Amino acid sequence: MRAISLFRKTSQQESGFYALFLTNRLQMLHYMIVMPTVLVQPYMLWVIVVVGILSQFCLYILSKWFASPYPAQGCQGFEKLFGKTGIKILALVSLPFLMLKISFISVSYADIMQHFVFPSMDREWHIVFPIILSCYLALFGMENMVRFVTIVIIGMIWILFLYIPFFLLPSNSIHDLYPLVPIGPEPFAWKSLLLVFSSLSGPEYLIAISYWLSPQRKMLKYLTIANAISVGEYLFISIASLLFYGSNYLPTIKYPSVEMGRYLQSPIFERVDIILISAYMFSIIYLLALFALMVYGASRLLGKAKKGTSRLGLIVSGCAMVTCTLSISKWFWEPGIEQTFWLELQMWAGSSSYLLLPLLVWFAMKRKARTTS
Amino acid sequence: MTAISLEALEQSLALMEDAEIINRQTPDGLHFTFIYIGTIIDQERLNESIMEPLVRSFQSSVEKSLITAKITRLFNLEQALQDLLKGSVLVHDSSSGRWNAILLPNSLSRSIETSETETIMFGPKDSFSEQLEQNILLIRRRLPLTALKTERYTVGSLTQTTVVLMYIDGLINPEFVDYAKNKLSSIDFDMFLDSSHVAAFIEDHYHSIFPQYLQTDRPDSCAHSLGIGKLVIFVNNTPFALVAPITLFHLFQSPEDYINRWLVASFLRPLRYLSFLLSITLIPFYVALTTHHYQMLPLQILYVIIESRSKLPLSPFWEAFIILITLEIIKEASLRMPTKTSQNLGVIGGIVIGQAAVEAGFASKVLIVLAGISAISTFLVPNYLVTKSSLLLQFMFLIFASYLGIPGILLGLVGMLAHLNGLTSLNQPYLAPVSPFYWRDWVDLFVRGPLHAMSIRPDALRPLNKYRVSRRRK
Repeated sequence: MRAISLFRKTSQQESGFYALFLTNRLQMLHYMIVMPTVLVQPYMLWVIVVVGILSQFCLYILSKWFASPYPAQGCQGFEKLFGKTGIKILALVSLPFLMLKISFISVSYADIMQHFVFPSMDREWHIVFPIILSCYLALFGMENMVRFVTIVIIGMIWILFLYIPFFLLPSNSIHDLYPLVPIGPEPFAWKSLLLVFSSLSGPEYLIAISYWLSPQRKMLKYLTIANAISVGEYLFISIASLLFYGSNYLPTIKYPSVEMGRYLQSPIFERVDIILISAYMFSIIYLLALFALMVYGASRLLGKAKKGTSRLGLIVSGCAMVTCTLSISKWFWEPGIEQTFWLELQMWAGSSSYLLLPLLVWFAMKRKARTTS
Repeated sequence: MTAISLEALEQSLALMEDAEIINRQTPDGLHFTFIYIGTIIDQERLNESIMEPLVRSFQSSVEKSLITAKITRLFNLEQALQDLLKGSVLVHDSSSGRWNAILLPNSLSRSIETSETETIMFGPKDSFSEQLEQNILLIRRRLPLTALKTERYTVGSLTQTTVVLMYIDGLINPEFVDYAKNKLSSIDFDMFLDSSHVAAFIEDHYHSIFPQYLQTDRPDSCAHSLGIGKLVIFVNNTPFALVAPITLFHLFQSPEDYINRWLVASFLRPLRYLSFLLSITLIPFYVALTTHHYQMLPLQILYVIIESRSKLPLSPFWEAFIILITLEIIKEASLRMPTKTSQNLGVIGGIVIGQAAVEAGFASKVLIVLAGISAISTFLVPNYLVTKSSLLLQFMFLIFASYLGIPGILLGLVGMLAHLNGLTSLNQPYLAPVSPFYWRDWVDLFVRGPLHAMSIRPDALRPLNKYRVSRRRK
């Protein structure tokens, strides 16, 4: 296998926009899969706003990392901060998190695809094809991957506009969005809080690719804009589904944002949801490719990092992804208890990584600053 | 190096029917030998400007007799033969024993004509020809600058083709020039008969179906490219110059964009992108819908398609495949035939065969209509090479659509975009200014903004002089 430079960096381009787009895509990854099933009452919309503010706190800490000199040094920066053993431990811990995220996204998406588009086709094929394509995309290297996010944004931005007609229905009433304050003693929905927080998670993975994002001091601005857009998008879709289904009917639907697509009509097409689900593949493939490179990078850190990168190494990482995802899909993804288990596991894993990883990096920087002074 | 001598030259030119060796004597008794290849030199000028003045002269040397001619002194046989084959006349002065070369190439060329491949309604009509010097002149007329630099290279062990690299010094990013120079210097092949042959050796990804150099025969287009910080490569004996670095989006731009009103141009440009997308996905979309996603069609359209397909013995994929192949055969045939015949062929192919196919039950009416739209859509793209590339893409999407339906088309689109994202032209990203993202360049991307808004040269080209307006020049 010819040695290729998957992790090289050639240009010093201003990359605030990439951070903005990446943060937004990472945060919007789950919108079709889980949202807004948990936010069934109008007053729960506040959960999105509150969690958005909490997410902003995580992004603020993340921006401290970007403003530090470490990200620009790449792997050496991490080495200085955590030491060689520390990096290996971090890589080892991050692998299960990455694999879980990859598997959860892939199987959930394949589930949607099978349910809405190709009921006759095995779910496993819907897992294999996107992962193969994501490996192809990843083969162009991290630098190309990072900038590809602009195309993903262009490929998906229009989806949001499809939900506008749901706000214009004659049957809509502002009263459908009441009560905005819970009436009487409602049980505090920890789970919905956690689920929304895990849905907004993902920007913590920017730490791993910060070297290619040409860190800068203005990063907080871009991260804040991205977070605000993501919160806005979640609110937009949640309000649309609340208006369309009503708070009584909404909890009975598994994929409300996808189902809504079924009701869209145009003079040329019905069942617009098929196009909508297919277009969602842009995000899925892109983020799978990004995670594939991260899995390969983490496994290199655990093994012989000094050796050059190779296509074979990335393909092996892709195979590991396929194996892990197919195993979960084949044997551990029965509707009901098992599916809920994976959702809860991802919810906890996503939330904890989003909260703890920026904090860990921040503490490490503080400790380093103290020891050097 | 071999020493130059009359015997060695005679030996080299043996069996060359058009090689001439003529001896002349002056009134003073000096002997001159003229050696040349009659077919490639201007014989009239040789007689009038070289032979007659030299033979009638009373001067003692060639240099003194021909004060207006550009004379090159020769020292070895290799140099003499090279000059001879480029259209020089070798003159041997017997008194001094010197060998001289006087360049007298035959300026046989077609006149400056209108471009046939990039036709426009308004704007400059001239186009390049096969003569290199004439092509350079057309650019120099438009850009009378001392900063407009030209560097010559010779490529091809058999063809000895002259290649000229042209750029505006102090404006273009020197990285591009160095990269192009390295590429041109490292070419090792025997024949270069067209600029596309040179492009094949200097492009970064020769397996890709997308061209990484823009081939144009329009001087105004080349001048514009030079002015915004690109370089142009001219190849002798071909009217098409190569422009680089380019992006995918440059292939959708027409010189007419900058002649039309900006609002009109801004309407037409997205139409080209849409046409390209239609040309590669319209038929696959039909196949995906009729094979996998009938439920996506409104009832009225579904009736039409079912009625149209009810007696067809073929599956939508094979139906589309056969029609597309037939269409390509007709298109290729009309290209190779004389103009008048090709017009008839277009009518026969398009109407008669299409109608017959429908009546015979080989194709549905809907598919014929879609195939027609798809075929016409390809012609909206100004670049011929992209038009040809779209053909292969269409078949690729057709296969994806037949097996995976609409998700298959989307898979293909992502794959194509991933491929494009990895491409480079002159080592610069092929999808700039989208990826990498240069937001300022979007003023001339999907729309064509007013010229007043284009006061800055494209960021993606990283020119040394960013500003196009003098008051902001630093």
